[in-house]
Amino acid sequence: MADLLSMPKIWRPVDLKEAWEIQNELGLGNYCYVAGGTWLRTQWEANLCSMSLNLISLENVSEMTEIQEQVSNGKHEIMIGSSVSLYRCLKSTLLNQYFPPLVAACKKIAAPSIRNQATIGGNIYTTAGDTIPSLLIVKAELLWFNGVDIVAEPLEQWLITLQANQFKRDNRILVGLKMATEEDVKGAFLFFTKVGRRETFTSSLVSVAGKGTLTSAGFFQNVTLAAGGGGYPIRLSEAELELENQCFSPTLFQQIYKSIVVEFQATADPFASADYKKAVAANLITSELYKISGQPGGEQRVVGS
Amino acid sequence: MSSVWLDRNSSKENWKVRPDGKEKVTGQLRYLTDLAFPDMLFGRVLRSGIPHARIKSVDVSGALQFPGVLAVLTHHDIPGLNGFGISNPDQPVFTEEWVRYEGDAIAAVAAISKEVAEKALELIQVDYEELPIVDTPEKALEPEAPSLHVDGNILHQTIFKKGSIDKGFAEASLIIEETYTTPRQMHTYLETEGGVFVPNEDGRLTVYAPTQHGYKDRMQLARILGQPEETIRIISSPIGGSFGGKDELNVQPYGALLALQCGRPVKMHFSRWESVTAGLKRHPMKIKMKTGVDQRGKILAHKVEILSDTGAYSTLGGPVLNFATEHSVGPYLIPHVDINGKAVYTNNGVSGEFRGFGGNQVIFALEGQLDRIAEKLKVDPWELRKINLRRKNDLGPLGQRIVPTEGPNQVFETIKQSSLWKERGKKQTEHPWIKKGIGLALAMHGSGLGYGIPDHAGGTIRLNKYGEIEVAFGHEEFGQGLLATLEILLLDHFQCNKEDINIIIGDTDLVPKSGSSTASRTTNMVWQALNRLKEPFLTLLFAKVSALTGYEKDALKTGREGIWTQSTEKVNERLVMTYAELAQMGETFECSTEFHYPVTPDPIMGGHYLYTSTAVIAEVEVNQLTGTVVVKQMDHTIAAGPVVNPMGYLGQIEGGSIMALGFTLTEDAVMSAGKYVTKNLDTYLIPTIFDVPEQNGVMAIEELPTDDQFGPRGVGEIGSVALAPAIVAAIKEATGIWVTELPIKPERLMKPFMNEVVLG
Repeated sequence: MADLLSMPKIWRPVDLKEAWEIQNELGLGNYCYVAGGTWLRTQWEANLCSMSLNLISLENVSEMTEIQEQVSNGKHEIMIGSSVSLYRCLKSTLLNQYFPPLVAACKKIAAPSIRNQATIGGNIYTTAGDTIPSLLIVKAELLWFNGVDIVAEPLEQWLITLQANQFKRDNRILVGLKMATEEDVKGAFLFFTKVGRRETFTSSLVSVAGKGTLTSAGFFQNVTLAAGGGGYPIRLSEAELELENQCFSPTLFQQIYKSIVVEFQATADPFASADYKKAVAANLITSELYKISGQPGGEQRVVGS
Repeated sequence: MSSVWLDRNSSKENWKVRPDGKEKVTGQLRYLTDLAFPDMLFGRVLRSGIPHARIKSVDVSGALQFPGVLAVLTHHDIPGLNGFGISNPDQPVFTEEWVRYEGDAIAAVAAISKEVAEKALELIQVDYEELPIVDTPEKALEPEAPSLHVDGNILHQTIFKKGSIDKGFAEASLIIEETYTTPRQMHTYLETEGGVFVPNEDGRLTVYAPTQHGYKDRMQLARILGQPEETIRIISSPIGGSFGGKDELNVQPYGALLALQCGRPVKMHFSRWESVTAGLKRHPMKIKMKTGVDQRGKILAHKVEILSDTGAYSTLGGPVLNFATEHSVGPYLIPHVDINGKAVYTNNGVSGEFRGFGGNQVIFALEGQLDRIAEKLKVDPWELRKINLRRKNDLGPLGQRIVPTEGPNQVFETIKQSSLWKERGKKQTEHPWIKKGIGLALAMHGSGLGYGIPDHAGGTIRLNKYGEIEVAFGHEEFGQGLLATLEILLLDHFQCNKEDINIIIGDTDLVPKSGSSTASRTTNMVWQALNRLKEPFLTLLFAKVSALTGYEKDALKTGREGIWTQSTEKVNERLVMTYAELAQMGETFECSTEFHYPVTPDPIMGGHYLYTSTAVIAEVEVNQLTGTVVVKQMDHTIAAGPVVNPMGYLGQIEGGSIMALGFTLTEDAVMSAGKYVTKNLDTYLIPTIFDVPEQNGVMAIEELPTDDQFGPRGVGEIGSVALAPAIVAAIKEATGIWVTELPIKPERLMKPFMNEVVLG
């Protein structure tokens, strides 16, 4: 009966090497990694993809379950294992201290029961996760196991490559991600805002994140901006360039608004048009910058939620 | 009698914890879909997945041969009528030739496990010839549209005319014309449709499946199975929510047929996906209203066209349209009226009964008309209503006599006690892109099934063999608080302990026919039934006790644990005999009553007789960066007679208004080319607690006209009918934008940040 009903086999490797051997033996396309399974379940139910006959769980791979700080090449970094749950991310002292937009993003994802199961690795790997804009603005790097080594790749680069490659995945295993921390600077700001169709437990129509400094003279510097929702999240490089070393003015903000609308490639869904999403992303970012511009050179501040 | 904001403090000793509350909140309560029986099989239904097609062939042989499959049934296996539908049984249990929507059932399977049943469905081969999809009522009405039923695509039409509409418009100094559209709202009960079907050794069938009318299910099932009603027992409570959605048959035909075929218990339980596909929804309506007023704002003429998408089959699409037609006039006195309604078949999902029953849609439109007129005339929209409001003894909306009611005027005045009333016009907010507004709406809503529809009620009371005062009603507990209300009424009537009473509901072998638990009728029906039963019951009871003890009948009364002597001083009262002692002597007895729900004497089909009224005030904040709307406060005043069960009353209005919040802001079962797009609760969004304002006041106006004989009215629907227009009015005040389509699209309300929001 079990054969007739095609029950999937669950693999539980104890380390990355064993995982690599299992997936190579099964062959690309014949297995699926499952962590929390919260997103995959919806895909299976909707017949958007069929449940693989081989499910690989990495829950026993210990190096993927921690949030750690490390110094690498003189840089202080935070490393998050792929298997760390969203709940642990939002409770993490380190992440709350250094990356509040990521915490804000985790807090806005789904509901507590799902955040207990869903993982940061899974959220990134979908390419549509709400954590991604908050990671793009801090130039997070993904850590991949390629069968021999663990290598780093900028998250932004991975997304761009994937898009060029029709989102076709390779056989590398996403072990985690790392982000360099920064010293507190006067006038530094961070923000993350998500808009869904209701207050909570909803996928985002648009989510935006931003980071930078407003000098005491009122100039924006080192601004990074990102937006997601519908399509895949991107850095908003044009708007960033236009802001660099510029002072607040209505003209500047109107220019930024237009840049974001052009640059953000939103996709329509049954509930909102692409134009709406573009305009909301532009509105949210310009309004956050507008609020920030009222307080040049102030203490580091986190706005949005 | 009073008007109070209902809460724990104002309700004092009447604030009763509901008897089923603890089991529900702790998850201990076993619903019918939690039941399991030895040797139980699992049933599944194969649905077409195609909105419109002709079936060329069905081959079930592969499924039948699959190990673990006990039965595969199609239309060939129905002993009786291949059809169901409360008012018109035009929905086939199994489709024979024509597929009319994606939820049409082709076959059903019983197997030893859910997985085997699922696999068996995949093995059924169906060859379809797909046909053009009729996915809007407009398309269905085109002359060349394919005919979805023998009699065409119009299920039901309503026409109501009063005065001369042309004359009315000719005299009007202002005419407002607008089209309003409303969504395909889903009931979204926590417990999806399901049940267990158990063939008994004596040849009978016991059905454990939620419904709002056990006897109606029994009748419909008997018709399908081709066997006498008495051979079927329906056990139907407790229910994990219904809101009208489980009024119609859903799993029952399939479970019953499979169980009888296999001779074993069969469990069926829809997944949320199947519930979305096969379950009922609120009728989406397109409502055109043209309203003419004189210079003062007195409405002279009101023309209404209602186009209702009833989907593939009837269920109660006709009565829903009747209700919408009646409520298009509302509590306003209008000399010239012209209403035309059409309920139209399409290849969309089936629309049916849903809390508010067609009132919600037209009240949104009607109140919108009043607000638009007020804006044009530059008068206070609330005062405009006053000019047109009916008085106590005026006729009903269709010209029928109704029970005199001061309700509309009472709610009109008392809503001014909301803290929001004095906030009207204040617009200060934290950011320039947040816009604040306050809106109001008023409505009158009929209860009962209406003229021309059998609307029987009844109940039984007995002293049972355990020495309990036992009542039996054919009503259902689906979360609305029937058990709590009955308990309060019984304790009030007999002044006894909770332990002295027993309540039986939801079992056709044990309860009398009491009609359906729908249309805000149950509270009123049990109140009337107990009033009718009390006197004969006490007469018999005291006669027996008097005969056994020698006490004078007139000196006796019921109380805690038994029958007591009456005295002006409590210390002198004596327990004469306990209920248990009387029962032990074999002195059990019962009384029954049967009656009809109060109905208008005027022969106007569907016209209502008893009405409740509500006024709503709501405050919103619109974020123009995103177009999202947050409702900050919503207060209701309700005129529905005495409050029997304050907690239940409050729960109904709060619950109804939250449902209306979803109707207004987020809920829509989106269909594209006859298929549901929103297949689960990740895209079909009901409000969560974060969307519900903390301030959600409910004021109950208990006062009825002095000669009123009808007592407490039901409040199951009235909380859900008038919030939408209040929110829309508030949005208009906040943003200057009139919304005509629900749910409200944020896209309509968003503005570019720098250009418009900040720089103006």
